[in-house]
This record gives sequence, C-alpha cells and structure tokens, in this order.
Amino acid sequence: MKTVTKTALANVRQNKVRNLISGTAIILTTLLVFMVLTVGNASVAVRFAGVNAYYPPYHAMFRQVSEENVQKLSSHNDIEKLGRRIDLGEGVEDDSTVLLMYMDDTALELNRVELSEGTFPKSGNEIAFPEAMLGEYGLTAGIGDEIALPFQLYEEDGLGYQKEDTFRICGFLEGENGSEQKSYPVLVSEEYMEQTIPEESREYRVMFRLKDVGKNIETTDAIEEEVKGIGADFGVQEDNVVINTEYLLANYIDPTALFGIVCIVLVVVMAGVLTIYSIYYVSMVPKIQEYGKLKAMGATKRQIRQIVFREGLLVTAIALPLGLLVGSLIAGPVTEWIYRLGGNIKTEYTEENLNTICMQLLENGEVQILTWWIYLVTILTVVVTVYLSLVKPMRMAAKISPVEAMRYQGERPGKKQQRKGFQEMSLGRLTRAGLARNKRRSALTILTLGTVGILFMVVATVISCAAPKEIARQEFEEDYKIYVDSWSGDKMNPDREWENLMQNNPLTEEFISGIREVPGVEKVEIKTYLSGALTEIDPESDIAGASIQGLGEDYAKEMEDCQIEGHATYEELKSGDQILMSQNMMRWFPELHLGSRVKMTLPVGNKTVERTFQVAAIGDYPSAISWANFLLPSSVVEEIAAEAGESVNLNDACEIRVDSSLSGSEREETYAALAGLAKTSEYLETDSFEQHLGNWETTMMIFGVIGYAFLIILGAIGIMNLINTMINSIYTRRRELGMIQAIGMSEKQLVRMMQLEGLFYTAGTLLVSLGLGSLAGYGVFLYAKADGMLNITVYHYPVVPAVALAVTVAVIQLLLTYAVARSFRRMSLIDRIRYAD
Amino acid sequence: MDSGKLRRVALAAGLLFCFVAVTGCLFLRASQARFEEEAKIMAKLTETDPAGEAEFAGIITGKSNEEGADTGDGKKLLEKYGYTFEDSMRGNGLWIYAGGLGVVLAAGFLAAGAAGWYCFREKKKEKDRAEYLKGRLLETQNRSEKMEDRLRKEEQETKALITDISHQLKTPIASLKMSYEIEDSTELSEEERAEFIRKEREDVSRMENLLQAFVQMTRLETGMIRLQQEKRSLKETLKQAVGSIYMKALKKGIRIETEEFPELVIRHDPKWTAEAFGNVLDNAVKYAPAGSWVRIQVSEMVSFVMVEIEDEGPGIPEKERGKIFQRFYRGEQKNVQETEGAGVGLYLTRQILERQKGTVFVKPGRNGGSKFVMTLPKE
Amino acid sequence: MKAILETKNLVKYYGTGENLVKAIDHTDIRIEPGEFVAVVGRSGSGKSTLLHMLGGLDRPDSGKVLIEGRDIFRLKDERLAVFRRRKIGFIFQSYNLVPSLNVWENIVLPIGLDGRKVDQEYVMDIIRRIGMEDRLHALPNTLSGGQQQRVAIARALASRPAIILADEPTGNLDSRTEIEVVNLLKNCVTEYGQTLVMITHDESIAQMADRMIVIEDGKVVRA
Repeated sequence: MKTVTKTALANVRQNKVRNLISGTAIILTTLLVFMVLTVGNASVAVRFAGVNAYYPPYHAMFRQVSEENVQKLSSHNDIEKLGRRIDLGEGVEDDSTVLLMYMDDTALELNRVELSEGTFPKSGNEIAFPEAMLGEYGLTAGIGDEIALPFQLYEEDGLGYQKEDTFRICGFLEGENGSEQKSYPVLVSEEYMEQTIPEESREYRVMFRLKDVGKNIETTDAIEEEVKGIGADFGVQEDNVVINTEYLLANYIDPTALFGIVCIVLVVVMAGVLTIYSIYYVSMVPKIQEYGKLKAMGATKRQIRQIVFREGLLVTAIALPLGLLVGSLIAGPVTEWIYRLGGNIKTEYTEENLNTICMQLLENGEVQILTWWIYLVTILTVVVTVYLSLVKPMRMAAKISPVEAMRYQGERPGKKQQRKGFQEMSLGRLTRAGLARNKRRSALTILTLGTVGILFMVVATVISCAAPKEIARQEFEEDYKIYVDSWSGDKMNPDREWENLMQNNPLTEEFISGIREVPGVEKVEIKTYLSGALTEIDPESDIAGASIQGLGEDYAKEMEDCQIEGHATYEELKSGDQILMSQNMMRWFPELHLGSRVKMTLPVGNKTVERTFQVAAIGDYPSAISWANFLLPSSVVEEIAAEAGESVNLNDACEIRVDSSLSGSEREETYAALAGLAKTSEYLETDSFEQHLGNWETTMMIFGVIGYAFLIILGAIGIMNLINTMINSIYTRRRELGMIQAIGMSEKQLVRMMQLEGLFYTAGTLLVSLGLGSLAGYGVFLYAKADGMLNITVYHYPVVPAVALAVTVAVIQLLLTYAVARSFRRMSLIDRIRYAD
Repeated sequence: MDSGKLRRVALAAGLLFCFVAVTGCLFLRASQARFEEEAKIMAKLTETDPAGEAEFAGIITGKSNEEGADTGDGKKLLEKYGYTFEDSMRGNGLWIYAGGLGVVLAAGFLAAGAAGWYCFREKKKEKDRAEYLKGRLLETQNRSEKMEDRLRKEEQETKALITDISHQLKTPIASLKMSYEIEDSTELSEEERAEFIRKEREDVSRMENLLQAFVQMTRLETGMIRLQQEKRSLKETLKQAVGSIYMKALKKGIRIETEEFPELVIRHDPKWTAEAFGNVLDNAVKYAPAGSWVRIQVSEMVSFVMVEIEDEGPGIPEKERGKIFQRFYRGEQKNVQETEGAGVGLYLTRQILERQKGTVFVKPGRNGGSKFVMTLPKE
Repeated sequence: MKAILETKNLVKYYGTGENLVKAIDHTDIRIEPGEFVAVVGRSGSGKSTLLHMLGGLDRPDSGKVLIEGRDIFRLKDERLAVFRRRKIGFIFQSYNLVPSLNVWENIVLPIGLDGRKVDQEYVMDIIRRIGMEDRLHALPNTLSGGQQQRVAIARALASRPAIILADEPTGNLDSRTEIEVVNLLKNCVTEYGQTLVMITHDESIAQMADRMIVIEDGKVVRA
C-alpha cells in the first residue's frame, strides 16, 4: 500500500497544473460551504444571543397563582426556574403609570431587571425604581433618602382608596430615560408585600423556564402545550396562561431558513462535484496510458483506483485546510459586516435595540462564530464532494486494459466509423470537427459553466425584479402616511383596541383639515377601518379576523382593477351586502370562495354589529391599498357604524400626497410639519415612502451583495473548470497540433483555432446561461410573485447583469486563450512533435 | 480600369451620394421644422400683441436691427421660466435630426470601414493567389529544367555507357590479340596450339556474352526499346525465367522450390520481366554450392505483387548490398571475382522492375544466403 | 545541376557540458530535384533532427538550409510556416492523422489551411493510387496502420509540395506493409516529379532509394 501512496504522491507532483486547478476549486468549494454554514449559523447564534440579552428569558407566565400553588409549581419536575411577582397597586400620578410590585430574585433575573445603582429592596420599606420616576413626582432624592409615595392598592374589585407610605430608596433600576410610555415599576421588599397583602389574597404571577427546551421540546407549539398542561394540573385557567411568545418566537429557528442553507450547500456541492469531476475527467484521458503501464507492471484494479483517489485526497489534504483557514479568517468580519448593513434597515417590525445588541455582541466577540461542528461538516462535505467527483475517473482508470492503454491515442475507437465531412477544409471546419469529436468534454464544460451562469441569471432576475422603488410602491400608496396605531389582545393596553380607539380617535375632521393646511400637501385620502371576527368560521380570530378597510370613491378604480375573480363595481359594493375579499383569505380558509356568505361580528364602540356579506369578488391588492382582509366602500363602513348607534370615528389612516415639484428640503419640511401634527397624539404613527424605499434599498443591497459574492465564488469554481478544459484541450493535443503545424498550420492559425474554440465555449456558456438562465429566472419570478416573495410583482429582465455576465465570460475566455496560447507557443514546435514519442 | 475597380468606385460614389442625400433631407426637414416653429411663435406673438406684428416678423426674419440685443438677457429670461438649452433641444425636435445625422454618419463610417476592409481582404487574397501562382510557375520551371537535366544526364550516361562498354570489352580483346600474336610469333607444340585455340574460343564466347548483355542494356538504357506492358500471367513469366536456368541448376544439383500461389494476372512485360527474374535466379545458381536450394515465393499485397527469391549461397555482405544493383559492380569476395560475370545482371533486373514501377532489394536469407525481394504493381 | 535542398555547415547541439549531444555536427548535404534519398543511421544518430531542420521545423545553432536556393531560416516564423506548407510535405512515423477528420478531410487539410481550393481530380487520383477511394468518409481510428500511413502519404502529396520529408514512415508497420508503403511513396514521388528524403533505419528499405546518406553521431559518413 505504501507504493500506492508513493505513486499517488509522484502523480501529484507530475500533474502540477491539473492539481493546482483542482486544488483551487477545492479551496473555493471549501470556502463556500464553510462560509454558508458559518454565516447561517452565526446569524442564528447571534440572534439567539441577542434575544437572550434583550427579551425576558422566561418561557411562560401563570397569573393568579396562590401561594400554595407557587410552592407546588416550584417543585415541578419540568420547571427549571421559577420566579414570583406580585402587583400591589398603582402609584398615584397623573400622566404616568407607576406600578408597585414585588419580585423575587429569580423573577428579577427572568425579567431582566437590573440596577443602575444601589441594591434591590430586601427588607422593610426599601424600594427601588427607575431614577427618571423622581422627575414625574418632582422630587430630588438619592439612595438612602426617604420619600413618600401616594398609591392605591389592588383590591378584590379594583383599586382601593389612595394611601401614602414613606419608603427608603435602596436602589435605582436600569430603565430607558425619557421613555414615551411613562410607565415605571416600583419594587418593594418581600417583607413589605407580606405586610400589605394577607396570605390568602396573594395572587402571584409566576414566570418560569421549562427544562429540556431545545432537546425534547422544540417548537413553540410544543412549549405552549406543555405549559398549558402544567397550568391545567394546578388549576390555572387558560386565560391566565401567558406564553412569552416574543421570546419563544425570537428563539424559534425557521425550518425554511435551515432548508435554504441546506439547499445552498447542496448547490455548492453540486457545482464542486461537477467541476472537480470535470477537471479530473478531462485530464484523465491523456493519463490513461500511464495507468495502463502501471497495470501492465502488475497493479490491480483496486490499486489503480486507490492511486487516483489518493492523488485527489492528497490535493484535498492541502487545499481543504487552506480553504478552512481562509474561511476562519474572514468569517468574523463578513458576519459583522452583514449585520452592520442590516442595522440600516428600520421597519415597524424590527426591534432596533435588538440589532444594536447583536452588533455589540458581535463586536465584543461574545458570540462564537466558529464552531467545531461546522469544521467537521465542511470537511465531511468536501471529502464527499471529492470522492463523488473521483468515482468516475477512478473507474475509468481502473477499467482500462494494459494493451488497450498502450494503444490509447486519446480516444477510444469510437462508435462512429464514418464522418460525412466537407469537400474543402478550412480552419473553422477543422475546429468544428475537433469540438464535435470531444462532444462529451465540450458539453460537460459548457454545462458546468452554464450551471453557474443559470444560477447567476436567476439571482440577477430576482434582484432585478425586486426593484426597491416598486416594492416600496407596493407597500406605500402616497408619500406620507399618518395612521392610528392600534393593536388588539394587549391586556396591558386595552386603549389600543380599535373598538376603544374609534371612540377616542385622534384622526378627527379637524386634525385632517390641519393636515390639508400643511404647505406642500397636495392631497389627503382617508381610509376607514373596522375589525371583528368571522362569526362562523373563526369566532376567536385564531387564524384571521374580519378586518375591513373602507375606501372612498377615489379608490373605485383600484378596487375594480384588483379583482381577479368575480366582478363587482364600486356602486354595486355600495349596496352594503356585498364585499370584496382578499385572495389571501382563500389560503387561510379554503372553504371561502366567490359567492360565499360570510357572517361577521364587528365591535363598534361598546356594541357589536353582526352582518352577513356575500363575497362579490376576490381581489389581489397591494398592501399599499390595504392589508385588511376585506374591502368595502367607506359609505358602507359608516353605515355599519351608524347601525350600532354609537358615535365613533372610523378613520384609520391618512394617505398624504406631497407636491412632487417640491425640492428635497421643502419636502423634508412638509414631512417635519406632518410629523409634528402626528406627535400631538400618542396613538398616531407616521410613515413615509422614503422610509420604505430606503429599507428596501438596503435590503436589496445586502441581498445583492451576498448573492453576487456567492455567485462570484461559484463562478470562480466554474472558471477553474474552464481553465482546465482549455489547458487540457491544448496540452493533450500538443502533439496533434504540432503535427498539424508541421503539415502547414501557421502559429497565427493555431492561435486563431484556439480562439475559435474559446469562442465556442463562450458562446455555448452564454447560450446556456442567458437562454436557460433567463427562462429559469422567469420561472423563479413567477414563483416569487405567486408566493409574495420580496413583494415581487413586475418582471424586469436583468439587462445589466446579463451584459456583465456576457462581457465577463468573454473577457475571461479571451484572456485565458491568450495566456494558454502564449505558454503553448513558448514550447518549440519540435518539442510538441516529439512529445509522447 | 478593370471592372472590379470600376465597381468599387461606383459603390463608393453611390454610398457618398446616399450619404449626401440623406444628410440633405435631414437638413431640409430640420429647417422646415424650424420654420414651422417660427410660424407658431409668430402666430402666438401676434395673438398676444396684434399691434407688434411687423416688429415680430422683423425679429424672426432677422431684418430688424437688433444686432445689439444681448443674448445673455434673453437667456436669463428664458431660464427664469425654466426654459433651458436642454429644453430647446428636446422641444423642437432638433435632437431627432441630430440623432439622425449621427446615425447616418455612423452608418457611413461603418459602410466605409466595411468596404475598406473588404477591399483589403480582396487585395490580400489576390496577393496570396499571385504568390501561389508564382510558386506554381517556379515549380513548372523546375520540372522542365528537370526534364532538360534528365536529357542531359541520359546523354552523359550514354557516353559513360559507351566508355564502360569499351572498357569492359578491352580485356577479352586484349587477351585474344595476345593469343594471336603469340601463335604467330612463336613455334608452338600441337598441344600448346590446341590450348591457345581453346582459350581464344573462350574469349570470343565471353565477348559474345558481354555483347549480348551490352546490347540488352543499351537498348534498355538508351530508350531504344519500350517495355511492352500487358496483362499477362505472372506464373507464365516466372516459368519462363526458371526455364532459362533450369539446366544449369540441374547440372549443379540445385533444387528450385516454388511455393504454390494463385494465378495472378498483372500488367507487365513478360519477356523483360522474365529476364529480370532470370538474372536473379542465375546468380543464385551460379554462386550457391551444389546440392543447395533456391526458393521462390510469390505473395499478393494490396497494390503490389511481391516475388521473393531466396538462395543458400554465400550471401552479400551488408556493405555491398546497396551497391550490387549498380552497373558493372562486381562483388569483392574471391568466389565472385573468380566467377564469370560482367556486373550487368542485377543492374538490368533493377532497371526492368523500376521501369514497371516495381522495386528490388536484397536482404539476408535464412541460411546465410540472400533473399531478393522484388515487387511489381498489380495495376 | 541546381540542388533543391542543401545544407551548409549545419550545426545543432543539445544540452551542455557532459550532456552535450551533437545532433548535427557540421553537416553538408546536397539533394537534387527528383532524387529519392534515404537517410540511414542508428537511432540517436541525429537523422531525425536533420530532417526537422530540412523541413524548417527546428532552427539550427548555425549553418544554413537552402530550399531552391533560399535560406529558409532567414524567414520569419509566420512566413516560414507558409513557405513550409507550400514546399514541403511531411510524413511521420506515427501517421498523425487528425482523429476528428475523415480520410478526405485529412488529405485536403493542408490545402485548406493554405486557403486554397482543392484540385479534386488531382487529389482523387492520389487517393485512387493509395487505394482508399472507397474509404473516403472513414475516420482514422477505423483504419489499419498501413491504411493510415497511406492516407498520410496522400496528405503529404495533396498540396503538391516540391519536397517530401518522411521520418521513418514505416517504423510502425510490418515488413510487408512497409514494402508496399515505400513502394507507393516512391512511385508517387516519381510520378509527380517530387523529391523524397526518407529517414529509415532499415537498410533494405534504403536500397530502394536512388541514394543513401549514412549518418553517425551527427556527421555524414557516407553519401
């Protein structure tokens, strides 16, 4: 066996060029696999770390748990940690919420309560609160000072009478200064709590973490089930079970992302296999004789296979660590860079602080980016890649019989016996014949290069279709928007419920006319909104609610144009018993279709209205128009409100168009004025087209940069293949070419022939890349459109990338041809002829 | 002026005309557009201020004496209304004409370039062709020169032949002459006389032999006879050759073995070819020891028929193999020198075969003898 | 008579010092038009190098090669290539047919490379002579060695070069095919009035030549 390794080693030295090229391909493959895994893993790890640093890390909370049950729960086997909290009452303060509460140490930990100064309250009348609260009361005090606070205790039926107590400040809590919500927690000591609330009426909130999360319990749903099970066992009503969904969701690994990473790795592996295989296949042919000789000297099939395999393995042994080294060096900066770019995206959904925390974690190197299993997986993947690519060449080398090998002149006695041929010969025809003979090799090269090209075109198409401006336009109707920020299901903030907000709607006629008066405002459209439940299908709004957007006459055209099934004019919809439904609803409720009758329960103020509509049309409208599930004329929405007999204002949003002739700074001014108006109410939020555009531009830039970077490395792998093919097609034929030169081909013609061959590869590659790539790109576009991916709606042919690809391939080809021809010409004609003699 | 040049000139003239025509048209269109523009302005101006009609007309026609009017002020005024140079370009369609002009120019350049390139290619082709023809001409010249050379060579060879022949004849004639002189001047015994007469007879017959060979050689060499190539059986020819030496072989007890071969009809001159084979067979019988064999083998190849004659004689040393087919060459070994011969036979064989596009060469035989390989084309 | 091919004090050494090989050592050769010259020598005697020099495939260290009185090494590479394809036909030991082309295409390839039209009649005449008229469309790998070499001969003849240089044209053939191929070559050359210089180590083949040049250690021993 030692001889086998030695022979393989000698072969490595002998086939320097081939191994250099395949080595580079292996390095690149390694790098790609490693980077994809690392960046994917790092993003998950960073997010986890960020989430753990940002959100309270408890899994669930039970409310109204008796002292006794708290004891029982804390000894529950499935609970890892349990913290208690009890709310005593509310401080009396006019424009802020002050909550008096007690938390034990675990609860403090699970809620991420931290001190900026001093200690947590331990005994007696010690308290701790955010220092900013002092300002609300107009007090100045330090640690150790005593202050008097007025408060109301919670009693059976609400808040009790106002009391006042003197407390000694033992610490200040970390908190956001100048918080808009103006809600301040005040921590009291256990002693004080026990004194204030009799044991039998103590109702704790217990926050806890489950054991085995991530091992036995993996999904959010599983956690929820487990928690509810525990709750039921201890008589906790389902209402009182609160799952820390934010935390859990943030911790949740999206299986599609995993799937995506696996897919990318598979693509890389495929490209790698194809390339390395092609490199070995192409350069195996001229070596066949060598293996035949070895066989004649007594090498067995197995030994030959081993020689080929070990040669590949030896190259891998050098290339793989190099790839890993380069990957290890750049993984950190690359991940950080991606996060830094990502930090520029601000939407209403992203948690700004979370990203900052992630950045900090990364910069401080607190997240381990390089993990051992990625190295292991990469090594395994690459070795498997090399093995897969060597299987065929190994067999090819082993199969050849010694006698056949000695006679082997570069090609097997082909099946083809005849060739129609030409009457007159020319350089072009000679080239054509040569390419036709090596059909398999030519096709393989074009296919490998083409595959990368197709991938490139697909990504380019997606990027090109995902034009930030259009996507933003899909999301945003006009230039500026002031809307009522409502949400439901937040027991802490019932004022945010729409049925409550509509009674106290800041978007009054007066306010709207105020908007109209802002200089630069050209047009204001008002959208109304109603939200309820689908009475029969989904009364609890578990899947989707009955959100209805009311649109004015101005939207008649949009409402009619978006209809993809059925037809209903604005006038017809005005009748009040017909409705336009979003096509998304059909996905969530397959039982819904055109003509279905939907019953809705719509809360209006303190009353509810039940209404049944017939689905008159199904529409596919952009979120710029509405993200609501149903559309109705405003008049109908008003009618429903009137039916309830409540005096409510259903105005939901103002779409504001700003005079397009305004200069940038004038525009800013208008926006500032509008923002100023919106500031008057805490329930109003603003948004602008520029904001959306900016976000999408950054997103697409990250997407584009990563996508293209990936493709460039993949392209480099492909180019390795091209180089190999070119070099081989020339060097293995050097004798043949030398002979043709002897019988009359001049150097110029030789170079021309090489160029023609190069041109063929270029043309073939481009044909496959641009042809199939464009088709595949269009297919992906259709898929993305149907799936709502990246909000793609309009197809744009990626002209610039296509041209860039064509130019790049052509230039690389030209340079390659030039370089190969140059090095070839350096060898004297006579050496070429003598070669192999 | 040849037609090609005429065509090229016509083409260039046509292109130029097209170019001028298109440019002219564009200018015409442009001025017309400008005129219409001015008419529109005129109409608008008159509409706003009917009284100033004449003045406006003056401005537009350029007759008004407002040379001093500052364009700067006008420009400022226009810019105040957001009317810039770019707008004017876009406004009155001037850019269309400019673009058109550009396209025409580009097309013109392209066409000129293409034409130039085409001419260049044609010229190059012509040049190449001329060079090639020159080469051909040179070749033909060479060939005719070669013919002349050959004639001269033949002449020289004939002279050499005559010299050679006279040289070869000298020896027996001198010997004969000496015999007669001795007979005339000296008293000889009866026995001696008989001996001399025998010697003289030998010389004469030697001369006869020589002359016969010479005659054949000269006839062949000087082109006095032509080989009469006709489709004849090779077997017959070989039979004839074997027949000519059969008695000699029988006397020496040499077996002549012929491997069976199929009937082959090839184009050859049977008489001379038999002579060629006969010469080789004659040598074999002449130099081989008594009781040995001579083997004849005939085989058919793709385009040739190969006749191999192998003997068990002394063989030919490697050094001499290249020379034995030369005229009057005689082996250097003792037994060859001792044996009767003029050094003509193998020379003739080669001549006869080569004239029929055949070949002959010799290689060592199996038992130290020689193997003569002769080929003749089938067609 | 004017020589068609002539070398003057031709020198070509390979290697240096102890490894110095005098492939051609001050060689003067003269070959007249229409001659069939066999160059004989042991392997390594420098005969192949000599042939390569004669054909302008390799440049000598010093000395001249004159073809029709013209010093070919004064030509630039590109011109030399053109000159070579018009004046010289090469035949190699290993046939070296282009595997992707059929018999006909192989034969007319040099003409095509020279950008000339094929003289169909002439080429067909050669093909008939080599007996390949019914295998015109066959690919080289389906032909026997002798057939391939016959095609190579046809290829060398097709462009009507003045000189044919053959480097051990029968080295890979059995003795019978060898005789046939040389026969054919010789006849073709006489027929078309070309000059043939053939390298061989087989002395009996050399006997068919008009003249033999024996080379030993780069020097002409016997002309």
